[in-house]
Amino acid sequence: MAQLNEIIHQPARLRIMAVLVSLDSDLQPSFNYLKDLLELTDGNLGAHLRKLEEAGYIEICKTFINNKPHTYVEATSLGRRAFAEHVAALQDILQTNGHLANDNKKDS
Amino acid sequence: MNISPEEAQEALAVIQQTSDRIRKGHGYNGYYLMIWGVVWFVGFMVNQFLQSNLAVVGWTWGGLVLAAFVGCTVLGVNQGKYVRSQMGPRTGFFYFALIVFTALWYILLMPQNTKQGVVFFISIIMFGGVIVGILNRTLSTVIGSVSVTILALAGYYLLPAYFYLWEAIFGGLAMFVIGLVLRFWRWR
Repeated sequence: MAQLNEIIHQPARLRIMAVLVSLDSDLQPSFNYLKDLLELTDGNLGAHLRKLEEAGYIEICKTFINNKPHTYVEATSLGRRAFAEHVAALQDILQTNGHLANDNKKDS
Repeated sequence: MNISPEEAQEALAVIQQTSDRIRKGHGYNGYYLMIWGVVWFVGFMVNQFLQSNLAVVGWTWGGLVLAAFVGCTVLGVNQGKYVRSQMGPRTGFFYFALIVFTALWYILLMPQNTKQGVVFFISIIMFGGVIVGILNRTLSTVIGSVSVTILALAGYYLLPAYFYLWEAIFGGLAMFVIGLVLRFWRWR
């Protein structure tokens, strides 16, 4: 049975990882784009990214474009696997409690 | 770590909403396909119905391809504000080199007629699509490129009189519709 991931489960980090794994694997969103999209402050986003980076789930790439610093973020393969396992664990919880079955009945 | 089924459902809903938003906002491949779909559709329609007027055909294709390159560049620059692509620039250079080499092979091999030349161009550019699809690990690009090649060959051999119309519909229009789907369809 898949295990829940405490680092990923935090709401802001869950959304960050959802963004990163939803993009094609060769695409890296910029820090500012993530900040606007997730409606987080610089400090808040930075702290969550550091936490994910420490766990090895993301890589932060800093670069200069026209002498201006730019930060891009991407999910590592470890991060993608951890996120997939976390999603599987969430689905397991629902299945064992019959929530998905009820939802399907409602949909049909 | 333990959470309730309600919390699990809430977390999954957040993931789904975020993924939907990203996929909807980043259907750039759809835009590229739509642009080239319009080029193929208009270009081949002109080929089909004004083929006696070579100057019109030539200028139309020249103008369309130039406009498409400008459009793709604008899209690429706009995309770059939000996301950086590792493969994007390399793919662009690859296609540029492929087009230059295709033009060279065209001059060296001199196809017997315009239709044969068109199939020659399509097959080589689609061969490029297969290579890019393999390198990017996007099966849909490989399948799409092979399908376009097979359709072009089918039109060339089976319906030579309507070949350009065939390409406008099964090449251009199909590309445009696939682009629309990629851009606006919410994958579940």
